[in-house]
Amino acid sequence: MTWLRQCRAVVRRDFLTDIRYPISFAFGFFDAVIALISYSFLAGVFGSSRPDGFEPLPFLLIGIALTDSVTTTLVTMALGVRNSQQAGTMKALLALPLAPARLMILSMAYPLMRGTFDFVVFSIAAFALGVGLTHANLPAVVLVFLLALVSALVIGLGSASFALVFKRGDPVLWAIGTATWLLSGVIYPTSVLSPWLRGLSRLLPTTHALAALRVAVIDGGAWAAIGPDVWALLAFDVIGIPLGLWLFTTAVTQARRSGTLGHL
Amino acid sequence: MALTGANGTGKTTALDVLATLLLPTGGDAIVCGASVRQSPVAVRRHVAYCPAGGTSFWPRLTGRENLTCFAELAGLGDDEVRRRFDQAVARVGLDDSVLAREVRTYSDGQAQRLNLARALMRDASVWLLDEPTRSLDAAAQTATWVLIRDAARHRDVSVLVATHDAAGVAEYADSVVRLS
Repeated sequence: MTWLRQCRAVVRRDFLTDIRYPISFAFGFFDAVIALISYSFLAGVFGSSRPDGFEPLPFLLIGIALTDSVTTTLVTMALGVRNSQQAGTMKALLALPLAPARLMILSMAYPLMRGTFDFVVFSIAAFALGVGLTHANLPAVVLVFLLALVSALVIGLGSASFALVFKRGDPVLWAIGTATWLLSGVIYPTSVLSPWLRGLSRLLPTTHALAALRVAVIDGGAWAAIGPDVWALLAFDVIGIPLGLWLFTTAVTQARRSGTLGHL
Repeated sequence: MALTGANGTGKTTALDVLATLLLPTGGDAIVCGASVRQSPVAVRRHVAYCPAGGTSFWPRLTGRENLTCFAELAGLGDDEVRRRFDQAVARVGLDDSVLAREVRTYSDGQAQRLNLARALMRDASVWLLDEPTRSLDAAAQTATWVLIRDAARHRDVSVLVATHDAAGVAEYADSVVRLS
């Protein structure tokens, strides 16, 4: 029960903070609408070509929907720590009888919900634009989507740890964000990349998530077809979450040692 | 007990070590039988910490939302949060109209009182208060010292205060340690 109450407290805090910046909240939604319209036009440019054998519109919409959800999750998670430092609440939080790892696990709840909300909005919009979802393997979609969001939390943990020690999390966010857009097959298939770039792209969880999600949504995704990508995501998450929590705990210890816990 | 002394003498450092926010470079500190090095979470169960100034709150949340969130994160149940909230805000003199406002609109004095209310809501046996009268006028300083003394006696807790107000605190503290 204590876990649930604490989780509820963190979710309520993050939600209220989010909606009390209404312009930022509205622009996030507006950005998503603009992206959807742009990508539906872009799908027309593909003509009769079929990226990775898929229809262009669903290919693009799944790319943008998943990437947007993953980015929202990652940024919400990473900025949470940065905002706590700026507001001066970091010291007050870490003076509570909570282990830093527990605090970070609790802090994952709202970013997960925000990412899921974005994905649901995109899915409804995709359906409205004529993308058929009747063939989708729903259990596979849910599984791949959740694994993708958890992988975003892993990167968010890395970014938050960086922010705690070096006070700026932007390099991690920038590097992962750029690599994701460039290499993971968001708007073009990874097959167009050179072999060594394709090798690099296999290191990014979003590459596996997009590949599996497209098969699961458009082709009805047999488990055998998406298996390798699901295993890759699972491995990233299973190794990444404890590693990320350890990294954050180490970052807190380092900040405690140097006396910079409350510094910006 | 009050810690006084000029800037840089280690008042905040001492409080931060006892709150487990800073690791000592040597030795150890024991709070209610728990070591700040070996068992920081156990130490924090006994300690309520008020950072200097009133800026350690989420600015876009109201005073009520801030206090509730910190209390729930500290592990208090719903009924306990409600009960202690009512008691704490009554003791520090924050009324509903203030508590319903976002903290970013608070004056320094209101933020300081919210800071104290947060400590009062915790089931702690030690309070660590860093500059609780900073930015307050003379009358508000006196009121704050009285409030801390009375609340501490009422709840039977030990209070360690870091302050520049050596003259003001002397009247209310059992002992004053001057760091140099």
